[in-house]
Amino acid sequence: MPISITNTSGGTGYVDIRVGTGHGIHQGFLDVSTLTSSDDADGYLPPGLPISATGDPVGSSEAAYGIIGPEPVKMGSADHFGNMIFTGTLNRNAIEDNLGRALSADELAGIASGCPGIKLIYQT
Amino acid sequence: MPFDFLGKVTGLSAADLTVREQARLAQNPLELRWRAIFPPTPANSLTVSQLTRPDTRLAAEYREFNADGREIPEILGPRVDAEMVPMTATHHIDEKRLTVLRAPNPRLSQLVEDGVIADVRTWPTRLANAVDWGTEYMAFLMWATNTITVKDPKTAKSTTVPRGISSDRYITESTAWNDGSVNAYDRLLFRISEAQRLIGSVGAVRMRRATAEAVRADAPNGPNALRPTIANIQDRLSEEGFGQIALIIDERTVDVFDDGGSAYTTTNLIPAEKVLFQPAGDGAVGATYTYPVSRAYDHVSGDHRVNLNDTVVWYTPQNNGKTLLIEAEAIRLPLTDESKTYVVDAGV
Repeated sequence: MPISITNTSGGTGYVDIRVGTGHGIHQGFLDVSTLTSSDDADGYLPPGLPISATGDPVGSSEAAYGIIGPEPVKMGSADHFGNMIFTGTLNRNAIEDNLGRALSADELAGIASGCPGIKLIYQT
Repeated sequence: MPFDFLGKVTGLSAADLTVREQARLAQNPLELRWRAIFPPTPANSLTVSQLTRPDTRLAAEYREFNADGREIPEILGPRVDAEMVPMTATHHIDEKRLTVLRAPNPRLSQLVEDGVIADVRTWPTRLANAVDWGTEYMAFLMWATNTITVKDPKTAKSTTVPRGISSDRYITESTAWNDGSVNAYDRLLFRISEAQRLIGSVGAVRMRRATAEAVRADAPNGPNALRPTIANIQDRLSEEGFGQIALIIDERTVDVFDDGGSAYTTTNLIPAEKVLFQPAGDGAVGATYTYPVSRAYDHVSGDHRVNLNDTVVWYTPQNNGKTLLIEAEAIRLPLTDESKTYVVDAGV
């Protein structure tokens, strides 16, 4: 058979989004069917992704329940739980690098309304 | 506590990891220059006061009989007070990753051994390297620009602190050395003589490749009209009466984070167009003041092998033991000595 070469690109791993200590970390429900556009190429939800109480991405006028973290969550084929951060100071630059995009206005509003114990630090 | 066992495994205690990293970095595996150009100097305070001895050569005068002679006054050089802050590199290993890393998986173990991924044993090396590279970057930044940029490790905010060395020692050429109206070689000779006046005998000139090429383009040809090499130019500098001067082309880079996230930009240690002069002898242009990382004392159990004035590595469990926070930290500040500093912006 002919020689076959497969190249896999390297890259930067997810960066820790926590600032300081004392974060409230627990698990939250994930509605897998609604998160198919939120995972990375390897099927992981990145740390920093806001999740609503019903387990789907935070949409318009929707409060966030928690933020994926501290570790990425491997998506399964059926609904399951994943680790989430509920309180504490988080690094918005790190979150947006992990997501590969800026947090949307809906997400920022959802975090402010649904997770009042979370403070996103961000200075330019 | 779940991670106490790490301290009981040979080689994994904070003291053992610190001794390992300090011994490794003392051999200069990263081929850095700050230890030579800014030699470590222990300080007994977080506030460093550096008083520069003035370079004055006051001459006495003749006097008439029965008249007074010249009174020589006290002359003080400039003084700088600088406050040190820690330089810290951290990494969190959370519960799932730690569980996977510690499982008996030959493929994972091989990836760790090969340095492709890191675990509790090998993250200290990466973090200690980051602190060493950070020190190198800060030292060259202060030296080349007369400023130091302090960034928030968690946001994009930064402040620039001026070092405050006299502008007589940071020169910007009015015409770039690669301009057709300027002979870059002659300008280098002129600047070496100026540097001699301000810092004493010059032992080395450090610059980027583009600047060196501009000098070479204007340097006189050798015998048989051969284009001069960098080594030829060094020999010529000696023949011009300057003594042995090394012409160092320094294109080394360091990866500097853009903001509080993970994105970084590969940055040259010597900014473009800068020409840095080093005095003859030890070539030192300042010192790196160090202060003990005293908060790590308990973590290293007071081990006498550990030098708290150097980079210290330790780990602390967090999140009820589900997270391991590994830290490498040094409290040190490279500071240029005004009497040994002379930098030219050559425009190329």
